Amino acid sequence: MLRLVKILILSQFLFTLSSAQGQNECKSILSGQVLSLDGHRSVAFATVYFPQLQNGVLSDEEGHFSIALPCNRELEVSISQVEYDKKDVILSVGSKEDFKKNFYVKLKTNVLSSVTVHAHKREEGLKTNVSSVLNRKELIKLKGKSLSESVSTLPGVYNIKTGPGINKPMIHGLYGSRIQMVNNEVAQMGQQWGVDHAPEIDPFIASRITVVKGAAAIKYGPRAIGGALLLEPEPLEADSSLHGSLDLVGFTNGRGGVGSAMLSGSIFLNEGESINWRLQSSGKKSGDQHAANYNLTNTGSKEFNFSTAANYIKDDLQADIFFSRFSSEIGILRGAHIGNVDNFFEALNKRPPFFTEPFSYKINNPKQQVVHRLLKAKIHYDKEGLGDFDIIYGFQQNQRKEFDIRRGNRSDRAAVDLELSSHVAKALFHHDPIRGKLNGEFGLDYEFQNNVNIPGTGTIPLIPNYSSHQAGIFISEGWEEEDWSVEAGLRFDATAVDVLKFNNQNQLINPKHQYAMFSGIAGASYDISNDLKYKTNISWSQRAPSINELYSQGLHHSVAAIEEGNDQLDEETSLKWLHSFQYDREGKLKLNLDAYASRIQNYIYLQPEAPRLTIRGAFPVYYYKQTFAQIIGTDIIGSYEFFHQFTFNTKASLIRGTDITNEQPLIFMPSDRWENGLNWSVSKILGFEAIDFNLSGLKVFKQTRAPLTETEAYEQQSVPVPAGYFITNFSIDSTTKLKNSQLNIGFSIYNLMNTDYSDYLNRLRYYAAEAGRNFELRINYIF
Amino acid sequence: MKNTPIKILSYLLLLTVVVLFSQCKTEEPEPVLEEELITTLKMIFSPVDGGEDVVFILYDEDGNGPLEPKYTDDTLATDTKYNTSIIVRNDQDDEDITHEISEMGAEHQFFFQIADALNLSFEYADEDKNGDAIGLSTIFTTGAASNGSLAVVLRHEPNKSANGAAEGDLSNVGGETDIQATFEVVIE
Repeated sequence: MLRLVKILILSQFLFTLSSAQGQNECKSILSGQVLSLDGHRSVAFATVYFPQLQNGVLSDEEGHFSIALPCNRELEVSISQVEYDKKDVILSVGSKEDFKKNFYVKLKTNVLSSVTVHAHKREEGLKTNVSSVLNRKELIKLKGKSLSESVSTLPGVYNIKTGPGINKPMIHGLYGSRIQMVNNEVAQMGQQWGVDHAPEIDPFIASRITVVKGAAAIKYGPRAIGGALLLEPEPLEADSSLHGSLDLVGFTNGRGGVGSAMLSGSIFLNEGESINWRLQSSGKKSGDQHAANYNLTNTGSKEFNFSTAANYIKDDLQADIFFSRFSSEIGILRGAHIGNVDNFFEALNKRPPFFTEPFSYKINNPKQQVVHRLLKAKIHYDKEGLGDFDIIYGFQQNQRKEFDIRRGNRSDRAAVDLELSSHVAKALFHHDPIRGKLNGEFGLDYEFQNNVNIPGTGTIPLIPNYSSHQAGIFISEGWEEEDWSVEAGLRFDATAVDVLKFNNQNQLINPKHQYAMFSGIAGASYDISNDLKYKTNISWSQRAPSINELYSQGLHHSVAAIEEGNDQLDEETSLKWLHSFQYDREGKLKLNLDAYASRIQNYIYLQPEAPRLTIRGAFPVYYYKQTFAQIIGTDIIGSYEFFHQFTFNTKASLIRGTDITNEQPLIFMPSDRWENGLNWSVSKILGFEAIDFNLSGLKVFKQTRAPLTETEAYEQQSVPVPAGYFITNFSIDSTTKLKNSQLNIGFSIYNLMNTDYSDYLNRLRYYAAEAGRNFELRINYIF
Repeated sequence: MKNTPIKILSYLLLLTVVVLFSQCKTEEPEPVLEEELITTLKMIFSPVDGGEDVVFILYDEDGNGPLEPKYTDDTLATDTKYNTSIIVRNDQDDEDITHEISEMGAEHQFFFQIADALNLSFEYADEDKNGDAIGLSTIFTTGAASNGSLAVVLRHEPNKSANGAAEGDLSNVGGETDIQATFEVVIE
């Protein structure tokens, strides 16, 4: 206080002195606000001090301040306040009569101010679990890409395609019902068992995407046996100004664009009390995409999404409500819709594919139409000295229609018409650290699903009508020391499924199933040195068979195969051991090595068997079987900074899956890949804050370990596995800082050399190549 | 489920929540008739100069199910011209599908592949609204005594202007096979 008084007197004296000395000296009056970094709250009585002038000013109760400064100078500024970390910046003073600038300061971490920061806690998985994060800066460069395309840039994450419009993520060889997608803390409930069912999530909602690569079953339920994908929006906090963002992306391959807009604001009530809101919407329209040498007819898509969020914050209490609607229509390559095995081999060798036509925006059959609605309500309460409580409720409705090439005039009627409604309720208690080191949480989970086939399709349903209840309970605790930490977690789930369907004799039957599933995880992390950290965890998890594995029945047109479920399946049990080494030498040399091995008992997969003859010809039949599987692999990511501005990046992933029981490779495993890139970063040039140039080359090797079962099933000839390929990409990303806002402009060329290639993980690789060259322009404006 | 204590625990857990949501039940499905099901292909050879019809049948009782399709083959007379017509049926629901095919004639075509050893030739005797053949009506002419296979394929949305399509050759037409039949024909 005394120091402040001294400064006040000093500043007054100097002011009079300088004004007495040079009435003609140029002065520029700086006015602004001192605000907190988190939530932009006004900081009262903060000191804004200029050591070179030996002059300063004190902000008022609202954080406002005003001071006269000499013109055309670069001045050091020091901003301090008792509750905040001291901040030093360089301020450029021009020659204008007055100018505005706000200063942002960071709250000291061990201070509990009256406005709590607990509510803004980010989702946290277990500390010893291995995860990769896409933060806001990285997401800006990926705007316009689907969710799966964005996360597959992370090592260990792969992208399963069904043609260019449908993308689904795979983590360490596992996908679909073995990965839990969590959208804004609510487990995504869609028909995720389908390989061609892309996640119905708008990536624009997220400001952070985390891929949890170890078994995440403890916190996210038995479906997370292979990992979890967490999407988090920006925490909705009290903010005195209106914020938002605008995104525009245009691309040549597909001649389409993506747009998104977001606006958020706050209504302040009393001290520490506020209502905060956010509106967001995004849309996409694209026509047929183009492979290197021909058009991919009927691969257009369109999407329209919107979401609204609001919350009420009062000291330690926060109540949230969130609603989102996702809707998309995706065309499926016309040339991929075939009949029997003979048709398949005809199409296999035909390039360009059958039915190739010139470019069009029209989306004809075959196509998918999906609408997904999510309603979330949450109450968060911080009990000082005890911990925080969360109660989360989510309601989702997923409507999926698939339109086929049908005979007669039936093409307007969906061949698959499913409606899945689900309720999830979660109660979490995260206790305050005991003795400052023991951190943990305890939770209860409940899930109800009801799946209905909407009548009127005129086809036998792919999966039956069913309802299921699932209840789970879990606990996880961790002990954290300076150099090391250990963690353990346990979870128990019970599921009951009730199915109503017609059997082969057209009688209505009501089979029921119950499953009990345990999960456990133990992990440790150790800081070997300042530069080297080690993490390891071993997890045990179980997964109940999903409805399609039990009861699927029908012909899948794009692979000319009949699929049959098996209602005798048992739970899968998986044991996974993960090691992670993280080396960081002063930010210049970074190397991350992850190695994992998992053994899955009763691993459920589709086994093709001898073709079945029908009046339409021969079709291979795929049965759901169980085997003892092993998946081992490694992900390496490294970067080396040289000459200050240049960074060399490398990323490699290897995975080996084995069907131990049948002594052969596991089907549908990604091949080895290695990506290298060179990044050149320049700052403060041509009016830009920063410009990044990036050139990268991705080498994907041929999958030499594809099992022979596919060949035997098709009998006639071997189905070739695509050759290895090499793709180059180039991009420029620029950042411009404007007054209170930021403009990011990016330009990219994907598949620079217009390479014609096919990827093993694309289920439509038999009919057409992957997308050719694509020019993309991204504009992102944040205010 | 093996252990009784676990069974009890899981049932307890479920009971508490099932009670809450007990009104939510699985919705009873409506019985579905597989509408696009084709079970039967009948090829009727009527001698132009009179006489008894010769009928070849392919019957698949259960659609995509495991029962194998059954053939009924017959014998054609030597050096005879036959007016041939094809009938397509869904015998599970007692439905005739032939009219559906002729109504959407432009989207369908029957293709014929005759084994070299078989002295049989054919020509199309019908056309769709674009002047292309459909194949529901054809004229088959037999030669000397011989035997071999006659493949009959119904394609949905074939490219009728592809090379060979007008001659009954399906190598370049694409489309989806709705019927694939291989009859063993004896000419004597």
